[in-house]
Amino acid sequence: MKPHRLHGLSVVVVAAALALPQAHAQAPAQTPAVHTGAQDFAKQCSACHMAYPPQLLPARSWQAIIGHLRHHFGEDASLGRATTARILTYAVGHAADSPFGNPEILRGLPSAQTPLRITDLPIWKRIHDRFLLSGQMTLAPGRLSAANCSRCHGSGGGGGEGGGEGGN
Amino acid sequence: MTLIRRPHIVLLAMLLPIGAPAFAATAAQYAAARQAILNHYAAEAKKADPNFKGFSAAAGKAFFLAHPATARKATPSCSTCHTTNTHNWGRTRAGKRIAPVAVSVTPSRFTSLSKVRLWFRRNCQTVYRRACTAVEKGNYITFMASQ
Repeated sequence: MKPHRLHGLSVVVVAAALALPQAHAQAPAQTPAVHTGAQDFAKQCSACHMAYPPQLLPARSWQAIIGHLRHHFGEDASLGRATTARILTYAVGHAADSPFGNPEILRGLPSAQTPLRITDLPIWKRIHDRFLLSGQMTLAPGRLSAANCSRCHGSGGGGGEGGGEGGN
Repeated sequence: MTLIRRPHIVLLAMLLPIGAPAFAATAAQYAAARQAILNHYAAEAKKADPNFKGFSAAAGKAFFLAHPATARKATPSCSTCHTTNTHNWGRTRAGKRIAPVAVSVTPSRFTSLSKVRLWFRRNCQTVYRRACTAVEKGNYITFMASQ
């Protein structure tokens, strides 16, 4: 029972963290600068992987990640200076510890730690531990990588069962 | 399970790339744009070597399939992500599918100089751990255009 309760609670936290920025994105008074940053962020990040929502990491993580794109998890993911600045501003401005984030995402994370992966967040581990333990998911790169959220959660919102794809 | 279904939809809707450019060009326009990029690299190659005679699809193929000694373990070759068959869809290490590099399958390949520059810069560093030469880039595009 305990894992289930934790799971449900955590998902509510994730949903709450994401609901706010979405409302912001639909606000008519949006400034062009923020709009451009959001578009750049989505376009550039999703060229290689899903564009992880900036709300799922603290600002210091985005500074560390986007500040070192030339050495990005073993690959050169560098961008032009202007584009880098725009996506950094957007990510930091919408981070978990920004007004658009939800600090609950960072629960249990020591303030001296700068996670470079969403999977390093204590809350992520609490939610996904049972899938890792059962072997349904791996932290190693590949199709069933934890970085490939849509593999289990579905892309575009369809097909997500929340419980992974069972035996695959 | 049903309890957690909807929040994930909210999450995933946010992850969708915002507005891919819906730009439909003709094959001739693509070919012209690609030739302009090849001309750009040919001029660069000639500058570096006055005896430069032209690009080679065979050399481009060898370059694409090579496993350079300098490569990182996770990315030993261009063909690691793109697969050894240029007509195949590739896959990044993070699991995202990559459209085939063969021009016959993906006609918009190598038609934007800024895109071509960006990806040669990144992927040459990732696989070869150095910048590629203009000749290598031209050979690569020439090979893909022949595919």
